[in-house]
Amino acid sequence: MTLLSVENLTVRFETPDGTVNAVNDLNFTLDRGQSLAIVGESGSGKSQTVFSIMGLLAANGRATGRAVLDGQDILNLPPRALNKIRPEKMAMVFQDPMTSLNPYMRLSDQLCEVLIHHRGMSKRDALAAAVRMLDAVRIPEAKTRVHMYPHELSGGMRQRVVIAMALLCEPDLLIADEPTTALDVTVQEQIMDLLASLQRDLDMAMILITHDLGVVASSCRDMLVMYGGQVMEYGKTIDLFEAPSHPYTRGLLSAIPRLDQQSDSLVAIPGNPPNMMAPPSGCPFHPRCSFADAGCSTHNPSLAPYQDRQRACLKSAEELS
Amino acid sequence: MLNMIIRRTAVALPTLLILVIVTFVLMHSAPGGPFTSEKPLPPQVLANIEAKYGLNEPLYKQIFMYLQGIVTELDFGPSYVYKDRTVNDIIAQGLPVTLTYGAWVIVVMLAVGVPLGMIAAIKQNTWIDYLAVGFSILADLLPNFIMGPILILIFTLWLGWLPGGGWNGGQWEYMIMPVIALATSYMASITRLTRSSMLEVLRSNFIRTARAKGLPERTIILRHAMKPALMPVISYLSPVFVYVITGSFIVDAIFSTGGLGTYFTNAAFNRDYAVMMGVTLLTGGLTILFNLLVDLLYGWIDPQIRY
Amino acid sequence: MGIKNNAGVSDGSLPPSELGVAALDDHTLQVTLEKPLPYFPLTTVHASAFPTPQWAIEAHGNEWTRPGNIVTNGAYIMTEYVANERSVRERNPMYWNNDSTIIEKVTALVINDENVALTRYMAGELDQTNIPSGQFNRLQQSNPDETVVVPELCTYYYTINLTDSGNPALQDVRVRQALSHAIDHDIITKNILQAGQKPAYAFTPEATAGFTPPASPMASMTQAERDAKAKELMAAAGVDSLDLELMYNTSESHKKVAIAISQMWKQKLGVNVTLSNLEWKTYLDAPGAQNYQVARAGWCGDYNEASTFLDLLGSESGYNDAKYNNPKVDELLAQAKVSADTQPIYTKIEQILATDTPIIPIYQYTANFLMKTDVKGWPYDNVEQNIYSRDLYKVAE
Repeated sequence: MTLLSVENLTVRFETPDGTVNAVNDLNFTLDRGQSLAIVGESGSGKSQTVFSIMGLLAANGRATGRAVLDGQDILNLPPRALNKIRPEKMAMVFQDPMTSLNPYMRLSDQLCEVLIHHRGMSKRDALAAAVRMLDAVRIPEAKTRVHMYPHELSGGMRQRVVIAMALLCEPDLLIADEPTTALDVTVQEQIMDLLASLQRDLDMAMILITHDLGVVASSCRDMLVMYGGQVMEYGKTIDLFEAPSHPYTRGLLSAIPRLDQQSDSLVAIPGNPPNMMAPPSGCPFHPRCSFADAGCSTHNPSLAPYQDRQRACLKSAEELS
Repeated sequence: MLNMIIRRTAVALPTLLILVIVTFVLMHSAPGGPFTSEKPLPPQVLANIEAKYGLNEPLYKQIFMYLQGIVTELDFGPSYVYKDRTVNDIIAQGLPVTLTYGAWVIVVMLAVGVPLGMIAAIKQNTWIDYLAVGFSILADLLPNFIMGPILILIFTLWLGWLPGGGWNGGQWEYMIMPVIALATSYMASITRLTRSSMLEVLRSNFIRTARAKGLPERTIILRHAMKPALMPVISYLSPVFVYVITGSFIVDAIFSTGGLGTYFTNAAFNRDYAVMMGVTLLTGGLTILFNLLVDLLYGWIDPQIRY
Repeated sequence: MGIKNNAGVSDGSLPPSELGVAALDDHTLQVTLEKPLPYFPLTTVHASAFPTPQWAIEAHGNEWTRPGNIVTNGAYIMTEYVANERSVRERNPMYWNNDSTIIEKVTALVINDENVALTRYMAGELDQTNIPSGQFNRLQQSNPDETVVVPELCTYYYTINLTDSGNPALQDVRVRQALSHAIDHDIITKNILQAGQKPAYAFTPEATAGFTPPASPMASMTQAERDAKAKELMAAAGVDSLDLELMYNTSESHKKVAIAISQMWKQKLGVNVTLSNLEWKTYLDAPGAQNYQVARAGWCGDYNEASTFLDLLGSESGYNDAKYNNPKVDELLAQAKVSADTQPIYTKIEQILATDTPIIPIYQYTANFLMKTDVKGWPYDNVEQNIYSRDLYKVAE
């Protein structure tokens, strides 16, 4: 059963230097209890995609298209209407736990206000619920820590608090925007494990934004590869991993260090992500694509079904082998 | 925190001592003396008067005697110009005046500047914002020495609503114009400071988190954004205190308010040594105290700072 | 004031009891002078001669001048004094002539900024105030009935250092005369000051009682003639280039005058003038120590008699910053002290000064102020500005 369906989502920013096309004509669906990874390099538009769904675009950002959550188009809803949906139906975990908590407020206040406002709980009940949730995200001595200020906790602990805060109202959809990039490597795994197990236990749908393909394989059923604001390839994670049919997906996958393969060098994709103020003509990836020919610089391929997935490439899969 | 107060006090004492010595030496190195006048006194008379006030002693001894008077009896010495008054009398008369209108200046500049800056930031790029920014630019073009006479012209001469000067025991109608004249330019700075700091806070990640939590805008502003947005304003209060003191030179001159400001300039011109010393020392001490209070306030509001 | 044993008592060599003053009874004060002084009675109007009861000073020490402590015998009692803000005087019912006092209460406000004072006068807060410099002409046009200009017993002049620490060229009397002639007094009074001041060609102002200064030869010349004379004098002195330093105390008005005069000297005589302005107390030290070349000065009479001016140029005078020393002048000054008819003596002194030029008189001060037309009884002709509130009254308009 579909929980979220995003149709023709386009996000643009008006800046003094010109218009930035952050996301172009994006389509995907997410079933209840399922998980989707949105993968791409920084600047590929993956964060802006979820910000537009959450209603958190910067003031100069404009989103068009539809994002239907549980039967209701929530794209561009006014804040008042949106505040009935977030964080009750959808909630978000942000990238940088060091800055995403308010440094001037105790954790208890930051946690409880969600329950008091959305659930009409008393301060006491809210605090008890907050402590339970901190326990659930495995914060030791939650009873004491709940009264601390953010700066008194480590980065990993703070991210657990952010996760707990997002889960307080038991949303149907959890969006995690690179939840581990700002953390130590050892902590990264713990947080990912936590998210994966919570997702299972609470039966939530999850969108995980990441540029780390390593975590995608273990935690998400679906995978959407973005580049230059567009979808390059979209399908089941397992299919894409086993047989990537797009040059960009291949590049990403070959950049993962693998223990089972003897390799002296890490293969990264040469070149830099495009400037979205002046995107390249044709296929956005063509300047960095080793298979590109003259046609790639004039025609922008559209997303088309191919076998068990969708892909956007002018070259057929056979041509790429 | 107590530790910090003790530490700061321990630093303050030598600072004030250095202030005393430097001021004393500088003052005495200026030509002329308190009894130099257009119609000079006969040398013998001058010698008698200087002996009476101990001005014939070597400088180090004068400094010592001065400090001794302060430490043992809290006596800041006599005025050589207002001969029926001690420096203590002068401070007792002038300080309450300066502190009264100074406190109002700070209250007014905060009470107007902060909300105006907040509203401008919340309504960024609307007419309210433009109005607030326009006002603050205009107010910057009107420093106190220009504001003063303009206010008198408008409210005293044209409208006849307010008395053009005097203090009269601090009645409100005597206080309005000095307070406005002194508050305006800093009010403008506080408006701009609050606006830019509020804008920055509103763009910060934790405000985005608060929005993601589905909180109403009012809660986000008042509960989440207000405190952090006020931090730069609070640290800005230390120079404001010094500004109020230096601004009182102008305000006392224009509005004849009789605050300490008049004594700074007059005492310097008159070589009224003890008065000069007294007001300098007092201002120095108050500045240190005020900075301490600002720091304590800062630490009280910002949980990340612990003394 | 020449009271007997004055010097001895002030330097401590004689006990205070030896001072030549004695109270013969409750209403009679006897003053013994060192030597005869015909104008002595004139000097007793100076505030320093006002009586004060010894017991009041002994009872209150340093605080004897405060309201509530001070004991005076005038028509008013000081009832409030807030330094730098206001002082208030109220009718003294014990005053001997209390029945003639009309105004009950007089408040003096301290207003540092003359322009603010003017605004407050215009707003009706004040009955009388000074006119800020540069505003006289405008106010005379707009408020002719309220604008008052009266002569003051004061002269504005430049003093010339005649000692070795001065400029050597100024030792030559012809150079001093040339500088004096080259100054266009009318430009100073009419174009710069613009407040009713009169040019000064003698040290003693014309307003002084009992003496009319002699018509200086310079006064009757046209400025063109004076300029020609000035060039002639410079040539005769053999000075073709001169660098002078002109000192004045910081003030807009002094600066304007100094700039104008330095321009005149530059254009007419080719004298290069360096202006140096000094803060008041610093300025007070310099000329007294002959630490200058030419300095701005002003002198107001302590009493209304020419000697209050001319004594200044006696060789023994403590105020003689020029260190002018002419035995003839000293002799005439001494003569005047015991003479019944001083006019010819003072005339002679002024003539000598006009020739020797130890100082260059520039203008005679005026007091100009605004006063509401309902205030009456103002002593306009009191050039010493001794104004008693007991003489004033207000009329209904």
